Amino acid sequence: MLFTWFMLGGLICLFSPPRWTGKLQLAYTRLFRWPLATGRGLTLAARPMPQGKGVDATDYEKLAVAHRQAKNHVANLNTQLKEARKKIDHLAGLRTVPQWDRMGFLLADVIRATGELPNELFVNRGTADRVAAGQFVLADNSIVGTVSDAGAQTARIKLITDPTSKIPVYIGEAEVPGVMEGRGGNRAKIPLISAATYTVRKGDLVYAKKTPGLLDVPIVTAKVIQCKRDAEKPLLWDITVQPVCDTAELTNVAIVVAAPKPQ
Amino acid sequence: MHWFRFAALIIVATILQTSLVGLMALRRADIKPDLLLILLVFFATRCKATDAVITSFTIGFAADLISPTMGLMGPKMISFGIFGTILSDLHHFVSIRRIGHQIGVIFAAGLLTALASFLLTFLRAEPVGTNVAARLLWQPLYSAFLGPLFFLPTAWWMRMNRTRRWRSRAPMKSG
Repeated sequence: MLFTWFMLGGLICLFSPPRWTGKLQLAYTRLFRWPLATGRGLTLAARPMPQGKGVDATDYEKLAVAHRQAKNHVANLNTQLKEARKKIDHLAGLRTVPQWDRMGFLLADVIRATGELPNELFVNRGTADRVAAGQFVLADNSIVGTVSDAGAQTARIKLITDPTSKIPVYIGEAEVPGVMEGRGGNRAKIPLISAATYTVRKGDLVYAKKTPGLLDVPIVTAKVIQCKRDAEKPLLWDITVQPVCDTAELTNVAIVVAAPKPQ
Repeated sequence: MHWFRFAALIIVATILQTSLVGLMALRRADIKPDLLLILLVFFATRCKATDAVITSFTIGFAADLISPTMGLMGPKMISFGIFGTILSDLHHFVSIRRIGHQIGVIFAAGLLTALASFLLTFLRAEPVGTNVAARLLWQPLYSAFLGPLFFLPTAWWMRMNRTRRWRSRAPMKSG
């Protein structure tokens, strides 16, 4: 009898809406957050830093950054190649212009004061350097955000993970269109993608769509880290993405000023 | 059965499972011992039948609480409950006194509960992000080898005399 009651309890748990059971799990985490956080901290502190064989920590960091940049560069080259092929197909016979050459880049140093909003960066370039609101910002050859406000000498950059950030994007080879919305905590979501129409997989790259006057070519910006059916709207995907660039470690960025380079 | 001690033990085990047990991970983050599985076998083989049912389902519920799949509860509660109860019943006929037997039982229980919870999770059509081989094979195997080591402190904490039950059942066997 007892077994039957417990089985019934288990089945009720199993078929309860995820938001109810999720609340139970969250309540447990909230209740024991202190010992859990302490244990997690101890685990992370005790775990050895990942290092390559025969490479010291400094070199490993440099190599890791170079590797990330190279990967993003390859992704950008691939998408450029695809764009170029499209152009060749559609505009056969016309001369194609290398996409990146049409964009102007302005290097800027990141000024980051502690206690500021974690989803924004401040850089040492402003309207005096042709920086304007809406311009895209690159780091490690990927889009990390847009200029949200520009003063004479400084500008504020809204990262793609900022909750107010909305950037038109497409996902992966299938070019699934959508709008990437920041969610904070180094995460963003791409809502309203139909699960019946599109296939999205974990690991797919997300590209910022080309925007006339601001971005001449799609550039990689994020990577899909989770893709599952939306719990409330099962016909839609619940897509979570993460920037392909480590925004916590940024020291400088390049602002796409988009003006043609002087001849 | 000391239920207060049992509750404290389960709370500590869930906290350790989600934090410090990560230090014991082998090669990959998901190959680590499952303390709750070890406790399931411990209580299923040392408690009265009624207590074994309660402890099995409770441990399964705790395992669901710390499940990495957010919003999905029940698979472990059901699988732990079923196999804990079966193990408790089987223990009336088969003794697992030797270390080797304990290892075998923990491994078998881990394999079966993981398989059952995997299938139950699949019922809900939730994506299973973890490595199936690690869940079905390596984690139970690792838990099985470490399990007997955890039995001693657990028996001490629960004030369970290891030999009492076997001795009390010895005449039944011979009779």
